[in-house]
Amino acid sequence: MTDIELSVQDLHVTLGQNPILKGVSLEVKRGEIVALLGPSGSGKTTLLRAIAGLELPAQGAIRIGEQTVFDQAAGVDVPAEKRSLGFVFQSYALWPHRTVFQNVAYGLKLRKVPADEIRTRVAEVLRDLGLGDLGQRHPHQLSGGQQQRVALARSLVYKPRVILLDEPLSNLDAKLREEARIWLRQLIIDLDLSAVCVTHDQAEAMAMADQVVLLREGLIEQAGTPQQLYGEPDSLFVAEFMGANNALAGRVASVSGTQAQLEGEGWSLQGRLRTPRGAGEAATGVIRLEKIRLVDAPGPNVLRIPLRASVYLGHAWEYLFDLGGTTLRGYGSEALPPGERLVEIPAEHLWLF
Amino acid sequence: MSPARIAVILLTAVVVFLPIGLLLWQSFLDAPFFQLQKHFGLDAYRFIFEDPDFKRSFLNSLYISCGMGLISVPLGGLLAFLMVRTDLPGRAWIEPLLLIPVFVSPMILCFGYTVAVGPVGFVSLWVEKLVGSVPWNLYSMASIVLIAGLSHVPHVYLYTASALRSLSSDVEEAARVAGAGPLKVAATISLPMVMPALLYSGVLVFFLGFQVFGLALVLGDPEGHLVLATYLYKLTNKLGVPSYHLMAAVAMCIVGITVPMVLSQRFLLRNAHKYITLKGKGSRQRPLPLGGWRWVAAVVVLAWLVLTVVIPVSGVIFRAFVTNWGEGVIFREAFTLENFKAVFEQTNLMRGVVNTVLLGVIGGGLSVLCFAFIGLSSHRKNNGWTRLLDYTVMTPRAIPGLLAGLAFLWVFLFFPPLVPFRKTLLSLWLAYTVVWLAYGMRLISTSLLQVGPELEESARVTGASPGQVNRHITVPLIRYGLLASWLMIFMIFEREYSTGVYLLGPGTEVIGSLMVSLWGAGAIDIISALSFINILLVSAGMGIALRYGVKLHD
Repeated sequence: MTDIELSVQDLHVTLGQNPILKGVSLEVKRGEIVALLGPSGSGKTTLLRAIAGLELPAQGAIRIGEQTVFDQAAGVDVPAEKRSLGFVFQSYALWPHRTVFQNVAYGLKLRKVPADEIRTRVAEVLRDLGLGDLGQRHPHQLSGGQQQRVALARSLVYKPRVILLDEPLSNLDAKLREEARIWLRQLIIDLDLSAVCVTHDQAEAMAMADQVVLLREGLIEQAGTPQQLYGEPDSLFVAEFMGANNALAGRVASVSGTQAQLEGEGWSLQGRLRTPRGAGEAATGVIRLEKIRLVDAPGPNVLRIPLRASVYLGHAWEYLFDLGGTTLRGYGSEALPPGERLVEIPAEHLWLF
Repeated sequence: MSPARIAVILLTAVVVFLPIGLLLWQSFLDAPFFQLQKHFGLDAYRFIFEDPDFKRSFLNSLYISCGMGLISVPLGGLLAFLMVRTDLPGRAWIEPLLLIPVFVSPMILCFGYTVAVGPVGFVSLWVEKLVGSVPWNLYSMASIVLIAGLSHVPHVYLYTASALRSLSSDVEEAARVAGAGPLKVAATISLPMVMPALLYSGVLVFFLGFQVFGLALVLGDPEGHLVLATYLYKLTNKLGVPSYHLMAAVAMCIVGITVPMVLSQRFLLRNAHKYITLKGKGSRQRPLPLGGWRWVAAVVVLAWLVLTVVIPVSGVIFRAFVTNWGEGVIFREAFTLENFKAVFEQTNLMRGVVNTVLLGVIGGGLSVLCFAFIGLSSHRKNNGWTRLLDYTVMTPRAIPGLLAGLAFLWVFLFFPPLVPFRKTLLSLWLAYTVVWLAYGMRLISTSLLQVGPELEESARVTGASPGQVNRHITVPLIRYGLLASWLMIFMIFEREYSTGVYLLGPGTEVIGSLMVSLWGAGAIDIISALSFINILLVSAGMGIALRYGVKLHD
């Protein structure tokens, strides 16, 4: 007995002449939320659509629970309507000619559920999602947030085991979005569903998901927990995608184990090697903005560099330092006048790629 | 592709290509195809190519096509620019009037010209009284070309106007800001961007020129100017016996000219994409102030309207209410309702009126249903089958109604399962549906394109089979589009005259084909009354369209 609800193996999808997915594998466990993250054109929506049966893959296999729904080698392709998945579209795709009740009830009707039971189950799911008395409205009479919840209700009412969400929050305004992602995560956990959620917003992915899969040009760049992706990126691309960074171009002076010394114009810093590099090779040092600290006394990995400006961001001040022509950015809690400062770049947070 | 979809596509292909194939086959025989004694050969083509009348007809058709292009493309483009881009006075009420030549049969317009500006027309007589003679000859080739050109201005207008509308004014404003004056903007930005539309409509008008029939029949007859379609129509009289192989050969010559044109339009359309400008919600169009030219432009448009719409339509309506017309006839004494009484008393005429309404209302509805099935069969699919359907749908555009009617007559005469239906409206309905297939499919696909794909996909994921998606989502979403298409097809079917010519018989009379046959008999009283009734029917359609805001074009 396995608790893998959804498994994708070596999936290739070609649209027209363009290869969109070039061999993607992933597994979603029961009760787990997986975020598909990536820049536009990375294939994350195509992957979601292929799982749902809306795109025909050229190669690979997809299993939902115990059932193989697609296997190119075995010639299996279960049509979308037989895969019993929930799917929430980016635009919500509510049918404008049907009321909220009719939208939500449709999946049950297709499954030949008796009318009485349809009424109670739709009422129940509408109530659970806070849409209790909106059943007779038409979609255009609802706010964006309500439409999003109707779209959810519509895909949850027939109790799928896996729900697929395509940028479910992108049509909400910023404030609502931050509330909705916590609410949505809790809902999926409460219903004991497995979910795959496409997003291009790394903060959203980290807040919602148990697993983040970062796609790049049709391949998985890195997959893991949000902490792994943010804290231990395997590549420069992942580091850059997951957070705000300083990038320092330099040359590796010496290597000892996973530690190395990176040298640039008038500076030398110790950092952790994330990809193998030998002495004398060019490398990029990456450090998150929030890891840069102002210190009082000189020490290892402390640079004396000029502060050019302080920029007010509301929740913090951003400092712009000048490191041999490159701008180094960091955060602080107060405005500082320009001038020479001591800046610490902690060795354990400086990744060398 | 499900078997049902493939069946619909194959059936469509058979219905379209079978009659045309029959024409093609017949054109290479030396006797009617149903006779046992027949031989393959090029005799039919040899005969018509040696016939000087055929050569003259071909040249006349060529003159008409070129003349139409030269007249209607610049005028249609100008009209579109004035209507869409400028503050021309009275644009709101000019718009529906512009469409009258599209929805009123050219037969009727030409009767109207005969009555109004023919040798003894009421306008001619009035001018003669003023200046002593009539300074024009309605039946000359020049007049025929001019009238053909003016009455096809709306075709160019429709395409160009829709291209101009989709051009948001910010591209022009960007040019203005960059330092270009209004004329420079028009010449370097606006005009080049609608060039594909102008070119497309130019090709359209050119091949419509080769299909001209009613116009040449009415205006060309008195002085014996034949065009290809009227040459074909008169072949029977010429030889005394129905010469199927000659008719088929002429038909193939016409098709041979129009098919490449239709194909080239397709090519133009594909290339037109590079000019597409996005129609964002914010794209707002500010009309260009014409200043003092406003009224000059208004007079030009008004003159075109008077010449193309007011004169012929008022002429035919006027003629419907008088016993006869000529020099010295006084309207008060000549006024009569006898013409209408005659229509209502003659059973075949009355049947024609009833049939026209039935064909438009019920037949039109059935046609829209068929178009919807065909549209759904290729909806969101792109493979060999849908490409076959594409070409199938496009083909009837190249076939003039007269030829399609002829081909369907043969099918209904000699294809045993259909023989019992020859004298029923079914034969007409099928021919009409095929002739207007391309037009109808454009109406349907415009509606289908407005349905967001994710609305259908979400139904699939929810558990609906493709058929259920069609029934529960797609069709309900396009229902208003289907109703509007029904109305448009109704008007087109009311107007149609040439398709029914060869299918005309007891039981299959329609106003259009009756007018063609009555024209041969010179029954101008009856024709005028029928024209008036036909105009009423089309006006009813237009009235409903305007009342309910149905767009009469895209």
